[in-house]
Amino acid sequence: MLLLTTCSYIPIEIPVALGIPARRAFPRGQKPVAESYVPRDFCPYSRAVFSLAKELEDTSEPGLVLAIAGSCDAMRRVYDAVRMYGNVPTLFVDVPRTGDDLAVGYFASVLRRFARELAAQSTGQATGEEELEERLWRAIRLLDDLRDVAKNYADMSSSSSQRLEMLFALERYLGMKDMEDAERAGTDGLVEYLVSEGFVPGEMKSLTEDGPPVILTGTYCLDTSMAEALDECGFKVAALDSCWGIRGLEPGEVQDGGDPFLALAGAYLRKTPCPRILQKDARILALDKLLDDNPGIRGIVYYLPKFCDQGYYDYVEVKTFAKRKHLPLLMVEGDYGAGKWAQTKTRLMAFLELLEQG
Amino acid sequence: MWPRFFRLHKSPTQGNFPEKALRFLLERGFTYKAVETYLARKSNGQKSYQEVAASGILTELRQAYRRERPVIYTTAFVPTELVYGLGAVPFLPEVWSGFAASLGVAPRAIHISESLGYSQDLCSFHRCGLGLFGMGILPNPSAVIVSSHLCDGGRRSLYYHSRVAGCPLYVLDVPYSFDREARVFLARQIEHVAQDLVRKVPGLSLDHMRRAIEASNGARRVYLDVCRVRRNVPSPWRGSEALNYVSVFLSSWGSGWLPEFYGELLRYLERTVRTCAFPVGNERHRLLWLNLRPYYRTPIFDFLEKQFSTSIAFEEYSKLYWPEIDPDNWAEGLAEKMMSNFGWGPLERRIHAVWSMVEDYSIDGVVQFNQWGCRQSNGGARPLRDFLQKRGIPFLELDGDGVDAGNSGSAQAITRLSAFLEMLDSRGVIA
Repeated sequence: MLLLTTCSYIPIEIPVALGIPARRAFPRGQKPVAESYVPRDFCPYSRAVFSLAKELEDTSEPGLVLAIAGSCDAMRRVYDAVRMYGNVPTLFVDVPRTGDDLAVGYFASVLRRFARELAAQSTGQATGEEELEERLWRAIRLLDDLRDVAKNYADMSSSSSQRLEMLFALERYLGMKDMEDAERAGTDGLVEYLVSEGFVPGEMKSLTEDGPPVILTGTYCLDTSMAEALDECGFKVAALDSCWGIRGLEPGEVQDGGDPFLALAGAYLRKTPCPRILQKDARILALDKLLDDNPGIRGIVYYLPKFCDQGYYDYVEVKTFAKRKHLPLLMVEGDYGAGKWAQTKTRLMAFLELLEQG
Repeated sequence: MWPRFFRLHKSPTQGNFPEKALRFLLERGFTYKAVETYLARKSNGQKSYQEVAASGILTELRQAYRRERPVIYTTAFVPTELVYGLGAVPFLPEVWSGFAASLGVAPRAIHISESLGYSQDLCSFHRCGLGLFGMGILPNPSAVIVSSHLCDGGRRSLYYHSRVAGCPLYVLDVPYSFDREARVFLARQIEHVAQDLVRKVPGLSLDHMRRAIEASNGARRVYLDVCRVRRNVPSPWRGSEALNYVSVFLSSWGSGWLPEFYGELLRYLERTVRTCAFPVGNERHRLLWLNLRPYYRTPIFDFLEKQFSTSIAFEEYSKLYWPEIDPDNWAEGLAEKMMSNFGWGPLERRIHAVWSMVEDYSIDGVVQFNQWGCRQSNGGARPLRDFLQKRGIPFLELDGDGVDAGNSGSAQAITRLSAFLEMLDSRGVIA
């Protein structure tokens, strides 16, 4: 069995604890099959998730399960469409939009149910509660350690596209091992794997050591093309505020002890918020912290997948924030592969000139 | 008169005199007095449902603009009983976007929202609300309550209102599941919001809650009779007008005037049936209308009702979906109301609700108005179409925009409706 998840708010610790290989579903774009099931004014990611679900039906790999988070109206409807027109077992994870104690308590119960459903999909029988909790704590500690390593490697690279790939690398590593193997190998196991994949400290050369440092932010990067375009144009991406960047390598340390589902729920709901989370000022405070952690930022690039409502509204808030901080802001709206478009590169080059002159 | 007043400006960039003048008028008591006097003279002292609604809305507007009661902005699916129960006036910017479209103010408001950075690909009901706020003609909110279900745009746009107004923002996070645990989670949030509002906003108290819940339950009972009479063939109420009153359905539960409004409406409908004075003569087809309508001047309803003798027999947003609320356990009752919304949860809930309306109102065809940017509604179109077609009910997706006339073509809409009605004719579906 392999679990594919659609959102960084779905804790990977749960499938790891259940011995189920899992990774984020990073669809590579939308296919024509989505046209007749998903409206044309849905974002490329939601359409790509539907396309992926249809593709999975044709793969020979048995036991694929898709977990879709209720990230937005579009993803909720994609979940409906996959259930009604697809042939892949699909689970829904109801992620709250706030992070207060009530929401954390509710999310813990959602995660507990998610674990039960996953276990039933995997083995057809429920795992004992005590055993599951014990294994979940082990998975939490394991992921804490491995994410630390991945974050350190990401920090060592100034190539933004390579930093995006770090999340893939971590998930590939987890997919190859069961929890016991990964525990035995410890952090050294991941380091060895990263080196074998070409992530060698000191050799992760940046194209743009001297470029003006910027933050790449937004809802979701879709693919690595925007990050590659920023590298190619000569920016130094100081922080990647995306599901693929810092938000994908969180939460950090989970508070130890007690109910692991509650601890996990709290850690996930209180990680660096994505634009979907609706806690007053939380998103802007997180951006402010990024500026503090990365002194010398000269501008912000906001990447927005077309028709992403969360992004459209969030952009206005970020725009106000950037104005207050006297930081130039560039918004790029696009689809999969937008970073390869000549138009995008022209705009990035113009923005680079603006920053260099300023 | 108002539309002409606003059309003084040929370009949205020419000054802001109308906004200031309108705001001045809205904040003066004599404005409301004058309008009420005019309405009373027109009706010769006999109240119709329209006058009850106009009087109720005007009273609340006066209270809101003159700061006689605190104003709480909410999204469309927050139960307004909560706001009335605290002694505040609920204000739904998206509902007022519809009014703005009918008064010809929407283009300017939309232009202003775009100048703030809001994309044209967002739902225009929210963009217009943001623009109206930017124009300074909406009352000042004391707090904002949003719900997380059904509409991303609503909660995100009201976040902007709360930030700019500097008032508290409350998020009611509606669970996707329907078990007891989920209901308690939502009920606790509702209680917390109510208690925190009482602490933070002067003039609010929970003393009004019982009255608001009882008013809501009373209105609900009458409204069920209204729905019963609307099942009559031919339809006793013009659908284009019923679609206008969706605004009342969305924003007035818990108000003192709502039971009277539905009572008067019921009397009107019963009289219409009794006297056979049906608004669409020789009714040929009966349609169910999903989602909202275009609120600016559009020929499509005249085309349907006059040229094609076709009634919109019922509307999706007029369907009553919640049980009575226990005044002694109001938080859980309101939670249940929110969670009962058939647009929330798996799509099968909406499909079953639509099917029950098709059966109850003897529907021949279903039209879904695909409001540009309304992901939650448009996203359900394909499964809905497949479901209805299997049962022999034709389904039309009518693309358009309810507020931004510039983003919608009436000629194209008429062509599509015309083809749809011809298809109904060819199937021999004549009521």
